[in-house]
Amino acid sequence: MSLPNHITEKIHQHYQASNWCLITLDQNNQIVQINSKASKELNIKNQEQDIREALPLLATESLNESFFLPFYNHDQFVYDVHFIVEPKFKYLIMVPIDLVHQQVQYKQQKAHIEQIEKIRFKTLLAALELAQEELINANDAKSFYISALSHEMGNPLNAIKGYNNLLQNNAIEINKATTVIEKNVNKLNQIITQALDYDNKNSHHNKSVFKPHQMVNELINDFKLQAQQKSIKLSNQMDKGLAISSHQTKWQQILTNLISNAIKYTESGSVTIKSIIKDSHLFIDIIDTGCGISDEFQSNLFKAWSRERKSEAKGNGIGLVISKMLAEQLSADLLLLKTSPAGSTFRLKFPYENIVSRKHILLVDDDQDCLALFEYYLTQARHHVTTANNIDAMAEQLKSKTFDVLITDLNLGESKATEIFTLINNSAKLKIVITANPTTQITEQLYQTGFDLVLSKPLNQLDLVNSVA
Amino acid sequence: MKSKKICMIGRFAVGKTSLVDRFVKNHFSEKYQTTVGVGISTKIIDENTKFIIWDIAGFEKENHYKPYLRGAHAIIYVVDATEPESITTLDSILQDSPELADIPSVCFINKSDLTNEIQWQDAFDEKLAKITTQCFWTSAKTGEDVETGFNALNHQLL
Repeated sequence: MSLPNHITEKIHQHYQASNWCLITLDQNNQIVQINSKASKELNIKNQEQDIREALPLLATESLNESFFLPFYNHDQFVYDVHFIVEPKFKYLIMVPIDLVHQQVQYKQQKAHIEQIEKIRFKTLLAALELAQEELINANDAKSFYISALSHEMGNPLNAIKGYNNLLQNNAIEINKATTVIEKNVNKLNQIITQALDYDNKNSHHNKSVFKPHQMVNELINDFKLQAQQKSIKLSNQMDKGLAISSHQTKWQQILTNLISNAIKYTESGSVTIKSIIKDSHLFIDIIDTGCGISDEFQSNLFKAWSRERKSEAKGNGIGLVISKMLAEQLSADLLLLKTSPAGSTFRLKFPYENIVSRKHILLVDDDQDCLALFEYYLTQARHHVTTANNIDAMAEQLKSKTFDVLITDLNLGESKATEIFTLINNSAKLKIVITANPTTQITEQLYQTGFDLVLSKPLNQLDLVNSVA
Repeated sequence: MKSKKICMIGRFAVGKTSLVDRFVKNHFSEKYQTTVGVGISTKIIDENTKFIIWDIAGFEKENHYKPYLRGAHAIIYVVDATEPESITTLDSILQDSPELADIPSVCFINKSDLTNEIQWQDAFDEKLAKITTQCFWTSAKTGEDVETGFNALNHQLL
């Protein structure tokens, strides 16, 4: 029942050892012999014990085939396990390899710790690289921002300087010059406000209703001096009645940049600003008779710091980038529509829903001055206005027609507009009431009555026009 | 009572031994000690099941880990939540032993207590979803979800 010689020799040869745990099993896996080392180290007390219960190592083994398990850690000992199935008996041989284990463990632990340090270093390095990249990007953004700011301030400064020179040479009337200078000082102020807004992401300036035709007229006036120097004709072909609800300052910056560029790259001829309403969009074309843009340069057109050196014009090529960026903020698109050596056309494509549609408004006020003023404000924004100066006239209108909007003063002589609210509600889609006494209580009552909006006097043009838009 | 062989598999230093210690002895040690070979622990799960947990040395190319996997009833894959590269190790193991894909398994995303050092991305969840069906964010240190994970595995084996 002792271990067959060929097995003993092999173990001797391999391990140079002579002392190992040995458990001999019969073909039914019953322990037939256990040596003292096995009994002591594996804590197997008697031969009656179920070997699978006694040794978790064998708990799930079929014990029908030989196997080898290196480095089995059992309590404080480490063994190489050989399970050998022979014709008559099965042998579980566990050769202690504590010394080898210690050496391997020391080596591996050292290698693992080194590798962990390497991984930590790599992670740290990656985080540092990322931080550096973010810093570089932030720095680039800051540079771009500063350049953009100085670019945007260039045009109004130019106008201020030019008109100031004219003043010094007595070449212009003081009133005319100061109007232009003041307007451009306001523009500078707006640019600074917008720059602060840009820095403060929580700040939002509201939309307002304005007429692009009027804006272009003012810009043409600002650029008059520059255009005159080159004998360039500036032409405003915008729809006079067109009103849009959008961020006026951004529009002004975009158009300023586009007109400025058109003049810069045109040596003679004209710069035309034209509006077209088509396919649910408002298109604004800036058409010049300048030198055109080369095929190669077109792909870089909206990239910062790229400027084609085809003209004597000074600039850093940032204007188009800023304009494109601002257009995107307005849900609009800026593109180069066409270009040739005879000139270029840049197009602003703006969604139609921002165009203020012409509305039929019934305006009611018993104060003739207010009525006339508010009528002027609303017709300026292209609306069709019908007026009434008392409650009976209002009722008469409401009985015979329907209106997009009703704007009425609350107090109409001895009567109140709320008295005929049912009629108002049936005949007007949007119901606005104006009160000179806007207490919280009155305002709440008016909303409860069913008015859509409560405005308070005094009322300026912007507030009135915006309320209708 | 049926004995079920459960194999813990993963890269070195992901916390396999610590997870077994927490589950079996409710104990945790900060000291890192590399496992060479295999350590075996047992725990009675319920009146019908005993887990024989094989805590296998961290996978490395020179390790002959395959003999330890023979006859495994279930696998617990272990990765380190603070070290995404430990997931790559599981890919290598499965490439080397594709038969493991057919064995019930769970994955322990260990060291969840190191909240400031966790580097996890959705892509890792997608990777693990290809390896196993259930993942648990575990902490051998605090014991978080260790027992839950083992119980889930037992449930799979029913």
